[in-house]
Amino acid sequence: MLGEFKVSPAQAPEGGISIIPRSPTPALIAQGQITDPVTGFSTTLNFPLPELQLASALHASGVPIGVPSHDSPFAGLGLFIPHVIVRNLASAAQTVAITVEYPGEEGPAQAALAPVGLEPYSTREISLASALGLLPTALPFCSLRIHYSGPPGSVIGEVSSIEQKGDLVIDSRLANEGDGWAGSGSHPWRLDAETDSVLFLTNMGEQEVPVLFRMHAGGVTFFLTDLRLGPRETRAIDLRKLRDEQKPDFMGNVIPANATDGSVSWIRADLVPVMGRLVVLRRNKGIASNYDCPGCICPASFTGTLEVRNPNGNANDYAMLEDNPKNFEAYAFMTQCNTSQSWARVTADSRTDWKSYHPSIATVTNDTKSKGRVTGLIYGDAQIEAKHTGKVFPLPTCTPPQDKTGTDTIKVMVSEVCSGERGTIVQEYIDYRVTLALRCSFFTQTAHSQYFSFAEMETGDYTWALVRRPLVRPASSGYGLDRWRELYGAPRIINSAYRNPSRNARVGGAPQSRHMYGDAVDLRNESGTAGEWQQMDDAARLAGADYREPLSLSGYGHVHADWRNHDAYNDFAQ
Amino acid sequence: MRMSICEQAGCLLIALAALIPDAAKPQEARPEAAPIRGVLRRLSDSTWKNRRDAFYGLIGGAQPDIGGSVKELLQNYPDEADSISLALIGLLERENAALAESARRGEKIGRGEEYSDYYANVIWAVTSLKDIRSMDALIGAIATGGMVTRTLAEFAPQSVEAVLARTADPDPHVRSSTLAFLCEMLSPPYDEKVGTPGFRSKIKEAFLRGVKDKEGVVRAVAVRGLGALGDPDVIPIVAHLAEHDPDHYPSRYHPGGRRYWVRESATKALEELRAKTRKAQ
Repeated sequence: MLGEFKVSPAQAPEGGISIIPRSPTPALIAQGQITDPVTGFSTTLNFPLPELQLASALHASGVPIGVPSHDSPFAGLGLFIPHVIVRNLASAAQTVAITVEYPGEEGPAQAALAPVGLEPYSTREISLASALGLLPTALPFCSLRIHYSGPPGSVIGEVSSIEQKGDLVIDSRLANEGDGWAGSGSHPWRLDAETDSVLFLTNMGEQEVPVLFRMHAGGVTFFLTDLRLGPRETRAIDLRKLRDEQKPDFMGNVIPANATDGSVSWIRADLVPVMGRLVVLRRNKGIASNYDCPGCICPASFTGTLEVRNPNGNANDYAMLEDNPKNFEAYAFMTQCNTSQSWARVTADSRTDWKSYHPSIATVTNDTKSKGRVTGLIYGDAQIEAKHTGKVFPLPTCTPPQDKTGTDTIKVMVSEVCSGERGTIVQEYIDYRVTLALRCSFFTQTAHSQYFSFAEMETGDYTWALVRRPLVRPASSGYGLDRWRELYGAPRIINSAYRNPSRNARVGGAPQSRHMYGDAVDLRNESGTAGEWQQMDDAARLAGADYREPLSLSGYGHVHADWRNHDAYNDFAQ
Repeated sequence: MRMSICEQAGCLLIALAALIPDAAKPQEARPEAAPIRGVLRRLSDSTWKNRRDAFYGLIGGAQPDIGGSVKELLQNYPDEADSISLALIGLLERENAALAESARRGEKIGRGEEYSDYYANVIWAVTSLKDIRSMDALIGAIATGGMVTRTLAEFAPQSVEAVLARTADPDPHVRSSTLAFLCEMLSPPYDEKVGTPGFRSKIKEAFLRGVKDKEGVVRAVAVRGLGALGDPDVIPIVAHLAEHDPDHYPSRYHPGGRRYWVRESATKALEELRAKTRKAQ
């Protein structure tokens, strides 16, 4: 290109390139690369769209500076000097002021450098070597804020942090603080003996901001839902550490411990400028890859549903104890984005109103400091509603946030706090998400029928059990366990009746098995023959069993019958 | 439970307010139908776990009282009530077919009780509709128990006609269950609906076919039905079964360590028949 202009590289050692698409609609993306064939040094040129630059300030995130501290993702890689290259696109001179932001002892700290002038259409490289003296001896990383005096979009730039003894250059794309939205595409990460991946996120604003983060590996999608950045804070998320922690997310998912690659995406969840980038470092080869896709091809709008989720990520009914408040959250589930797993949290701001329709049973907080905290007061069922009006921030798509309205409710079942064994059992119902509100008085140590003792019906781990009325009704009532036994006409052995949730899980019971509700019984087929099974099944039919498990599901070992639709569901025998 | 997020303009929504007393329900809004339609579509997914998730998503979870949840769902979505009902009926038909296919292959669906409990709750949901369009789906689940048969009884006499047509089903448990249902329909509460000579004749024919069935469970139920009918002309047939039916299984509670269970059923039927004959004389 220089040849076409009859200019030698010596005559034009630096400059700028502008690409002007001729198409009426944006249909062009471009990226450039500067390479030194001798050293292998390379750096990337980005082409930001000037009209999308809505503020006169640019930001670079996760920049190594000086000798990185031992807790830095760049530790041991050498001494780094960041270089800022800025180009003035305007016809008037302006000044550029660089501020180094870094993790201080008491939160984010800043060091401002002296402003430098920038002539019209000129390009200037600014070394930050002089900034090292203003900073603590060792920093894990920093971020750079570049404020210019001209109008938004009149300066573009690049930031490269160059290791002084080797040929490692870590580029940082500059994001504009005024971006209408801030998010990412799905960036590839890698973890192996020589490779680390770190996501840097910077809050460019002056107020705290929640950030939604998604990591995909081995068919598992893992979410961080409690990520919040303080004003001007840069956070490094070490993906190796995150993987190795093996901590479940709000959906109960864990990143596979042996995962070596996958993708990440993120988006801010409030109207605060946030930027981020993923750095993949290959230590032995001195190579760093950057992923900071600012705008992917996404639907311009989306529709979906709002869903209230309890602390375990359960979208359905939720059982909790009176004395154990829980934080509920509202999520927006997108249905028309390019992935079925799209979701966004919408409670991160003050635009979601929470309400309890049964405040005498459970209350929910709605003040700005604490949203969606549900406290059970007494035993019972309460309906909790979240109503959202305002921005919804989709993830992982890069669709901009939109104003939406949505309402959802979740039913909360508040159980009494019981002491001793009963307290343990009630806690199991909560831990195993069995949707049944319990009172201490529901449990029995004595309930029995004419033919079956309590010990026979209690097939759980404790000395207490739940026994619903049909299991103790007299045969003369025309239905229930004794009627079944009498119609069969011979003694029967109970294989399984009441199960506490832990026991139920151990024996492979259904997650909401009626055995935990106290109205199901499995009677043993002693001979294992089809005849005995059929006669027991026929007797259960005549005993009014609401549901008898088909042979193809139960096998010949037992006959399952339950009376799930007889008597009130909370009518327990004593 | 899920509700719609929609564009701000003109969109008013209401929660799926299960168990909310009327006085406490939000008054200003109408349900948004679009997400419900999406869930209903997922009820016909080819994977049972997806169908299960959609089912529980629709009714707001696996609750102690599925029937109550369905009732409130229909109340909260009056405009979609018909679609919801039909989708639930379609779901039961789908599960019946899946179960029949798994039985044919000799394979279980799901792990342990997981599928069974879901299937039972689908039945509960459909029976709570009290919708005569569910009749075929319910007959497909007739071997599962009282929720189905009580609901079918409410649909008499149409259901009796439909059940009569299934008495020759290849599955012996379905054959015995259809006969058991017909037997139940001979009890006094249903006299008015099916006590006509025409119905009694058809039912009797079914029982008479049943006592010749190769499966003991069908004979046992059929002979009970003949006892319930009380026609003395069948006494010789019943008496023969009471003495000669070969079906038995080992039982430590019975003489000789064998239980002739069809004979037991025939003996009881014979007693019933003789008592009715004596009364009639």
